[in-house]
Amino acid sequence: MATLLVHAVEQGLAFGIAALAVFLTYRVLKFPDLTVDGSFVTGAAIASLLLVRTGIDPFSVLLIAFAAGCVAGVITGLLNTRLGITNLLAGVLTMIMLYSINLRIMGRPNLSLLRVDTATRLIDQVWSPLGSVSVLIFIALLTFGIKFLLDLFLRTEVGFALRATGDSETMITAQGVDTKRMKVLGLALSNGLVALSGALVAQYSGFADIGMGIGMIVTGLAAVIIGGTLIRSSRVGWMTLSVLVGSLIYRIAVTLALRYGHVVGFQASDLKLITAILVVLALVLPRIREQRQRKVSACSG
Amino acid sequence: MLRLNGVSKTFVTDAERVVALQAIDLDLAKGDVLTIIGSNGAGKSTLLNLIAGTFPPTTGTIELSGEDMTAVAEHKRSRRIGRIVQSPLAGTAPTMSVAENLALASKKGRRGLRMALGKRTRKTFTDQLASLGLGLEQRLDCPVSLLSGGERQALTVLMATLVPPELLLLDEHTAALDPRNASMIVDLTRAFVGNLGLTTLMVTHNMEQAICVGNRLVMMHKGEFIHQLAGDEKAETTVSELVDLFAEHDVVDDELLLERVA
Amino acid sequence: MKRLLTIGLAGLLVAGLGIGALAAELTIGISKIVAHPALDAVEQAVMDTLAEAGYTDVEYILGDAQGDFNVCVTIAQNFQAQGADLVVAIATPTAIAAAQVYDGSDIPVIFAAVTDPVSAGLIPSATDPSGYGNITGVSDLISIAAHLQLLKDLDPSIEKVGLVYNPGEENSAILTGMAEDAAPGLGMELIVASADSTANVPLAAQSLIGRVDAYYVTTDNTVVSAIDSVLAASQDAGVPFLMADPTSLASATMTAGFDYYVHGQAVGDVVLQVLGGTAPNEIPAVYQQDAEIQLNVDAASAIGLAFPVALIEQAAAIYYGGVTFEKK
Repeated sequence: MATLLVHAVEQGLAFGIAALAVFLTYRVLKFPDLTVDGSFVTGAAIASLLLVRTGIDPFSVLLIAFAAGCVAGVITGLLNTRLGITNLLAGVLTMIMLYSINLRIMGRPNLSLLRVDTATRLIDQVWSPLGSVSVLIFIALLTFGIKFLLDLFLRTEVGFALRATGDSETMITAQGVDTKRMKVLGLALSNGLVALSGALVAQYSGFADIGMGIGMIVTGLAAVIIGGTLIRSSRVGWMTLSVLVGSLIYRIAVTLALRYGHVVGFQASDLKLITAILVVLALVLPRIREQRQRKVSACSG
Repeated sequence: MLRLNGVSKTFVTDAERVVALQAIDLDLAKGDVLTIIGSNGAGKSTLLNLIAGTFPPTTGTIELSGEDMTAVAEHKRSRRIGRIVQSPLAGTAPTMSVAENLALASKKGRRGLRMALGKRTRKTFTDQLASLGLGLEQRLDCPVSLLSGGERQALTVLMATLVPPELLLLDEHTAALDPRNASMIVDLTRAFVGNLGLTTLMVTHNMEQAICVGNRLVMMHKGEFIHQLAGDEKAETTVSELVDLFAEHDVVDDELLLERVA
Repeated sequence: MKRLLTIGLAGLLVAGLGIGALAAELTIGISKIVAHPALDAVEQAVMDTLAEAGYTDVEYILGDAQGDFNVCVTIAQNFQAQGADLVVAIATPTAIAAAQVYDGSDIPVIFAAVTDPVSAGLIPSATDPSGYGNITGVSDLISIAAHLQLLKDLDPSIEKVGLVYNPGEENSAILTGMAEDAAPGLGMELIVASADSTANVPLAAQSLIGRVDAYYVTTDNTVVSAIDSVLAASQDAGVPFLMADPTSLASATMTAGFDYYVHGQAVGDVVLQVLGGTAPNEIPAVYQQDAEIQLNVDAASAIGLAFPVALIEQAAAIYYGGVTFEKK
């Protein structure tokens, strides 16, 4: 059971990077971005292609994937701000474009990384004294590193301008900020992170598949919403932490559903149903507790 | 400071053509505080929107400190032109705190990767908020959405003048407030405008405000300036004299008349 | 209410742990990428083959990724956590995930229904027995050239062959590539129509009407789900339709290929060899041999086509009057 939890945390954090990205667009910028389903695979595709075809090390590959994701985000941003296409549609259009582009990058629908030195494989070898938690520590360092960088960014002048763009466009325009530029920046950053997550997950899973991005927006939103329900705060540091917590809970729910679903009489094909039920439980239980307590805030009235 | 030359605005839709503003000339010197009063549909908001850059004029040019601003984008103009609108909710970012909003307003130009809020800036903000006399300095980290309408508008006034703008536009910014808060905001506005010597355009529905605030007054009706007052002549005008002036131009507007009771 | 919930959850956890503690003689994990008649047949066949060989006290952990590629690894990790003694992974993504999780381990990983295990990194080459440590299995690679030859046997005048496929499916993409390579050698030209989802299959099939002398579809999950629309298009075009999946005989003019249940039995045989003590890397991966031809007389008559006697004699089954007749 312990190893299962370690694996759940590994995946929860790896996907957590994509969840942070969804948080950035959906919560901060208030721009529902569907590009995610495509850019996740773009990151995986580029990473896999580079690892199989070139000798670039698996860590630099993560950065290159990030850059590719940024480009995808910029495309969506330009479609929205320059061509006036609504946010949802702009994201969908880029996502559709990316499907073909990703296939081109990979050259085939599925690219195996089994015989290639991926980041996780290298960490496993090089950090072997740390034993079975070496990969976990690596992923944790990476994810939390990204979280802290994001927190820092959201506290800079540009970060503030980005947050205000999502909060009130009229207000921030009156303060001299070009909201078009902010949206493109936010989308670029977000999709860069999504692609990085895809590149990491591909190396973790051992393959990149054209279909691995399907539903990524849903998983990301689930993490954001679960986290946001459990930890309520308007402070940036807590908000990003809540997103990671949400992602962890989701992955743990999947793991538990797999491991113990059959105990309650569920079949293998009921996996998604059980996962959803566990998520609902995770959301409801804290609510029951909250109703007993009434928190008094220093800020009310 | 501000010069409008033959500025007009016509809105064209499939159904109709609406002339919101007929060719207007306006010359505002540095330090002038101009109040604009007029009936509904007189073109007051259109005028302010044109100056702020929300949409371009159909004809004419707009100059700020000698520079032609007619083609400049709204957000670029915002770096030099401050604006406060009627809704107390529109001037602040609701989920961000009082301190964060002030930080946003303290930078009008290039924003970089420096930390937006440091210990020193918080201290400055605390002092500035204290001068408002509303106790907001105790609520630096509260999300602005928890503030009352009057408090939010007061904060907006502070934000608009944090970096003194070349021009300040006030678009009926007390109209949505109750009388007590409205007069608080007017006093605040007067204080800031006076202390900083800001060139200001204030649109109002309230005739008393129009007379008491500022050194110039302009009456608008159907997209034109129908009467202008300045200096002593303005200061000595009474509200009923203003009403008569409107009647002379066949302007009958209940809202204007009712306002004088406030 | 809250207390009941807590007790209930605690009880479930204890029960789960308890059941886990009652270890069976043998634990085998079987995973598949999606529930699908062919893959389900493999799964069933493996379990049947083991049962028939006398392995009755086996705990099977069945994993179904339900099309979610990101769950494949978690499923394999679950097998590992539950102490599986052997893993059967059906389809390419599930197989790669299992190989990844069990990398460097002694636990045997047996792949099934993987079209190209070499490019998937599961085995170094088709015939190299010293495979990658603990991996071996059975591939469902179709002999495309043999299929195209069948079309020639049916009607030597067939030159242009229309192929409907989903470029997003790994197996399908490989087979289509092979078809494109094999066609010229037989004096044929392949004309492809792609459909990235089941909803787009009818359109793709119709786009080939008037441009081809025959239709051909490989083991493509997307197209198979809308196979009747392909038959309809071929009938409109008045040309025969060859399908590489015998279970779809009623929806094609002719099928050639193997039964996935039989494929599963082959996988089961490999598992038995491993359980019997042979190391996985001493068992060369098996490439399933194409078996049978099946003919649909109803569909053929509808387009005025008569099967040559030679083909009828080869056929393992005939579909006539809505009933399948199998040759004993």
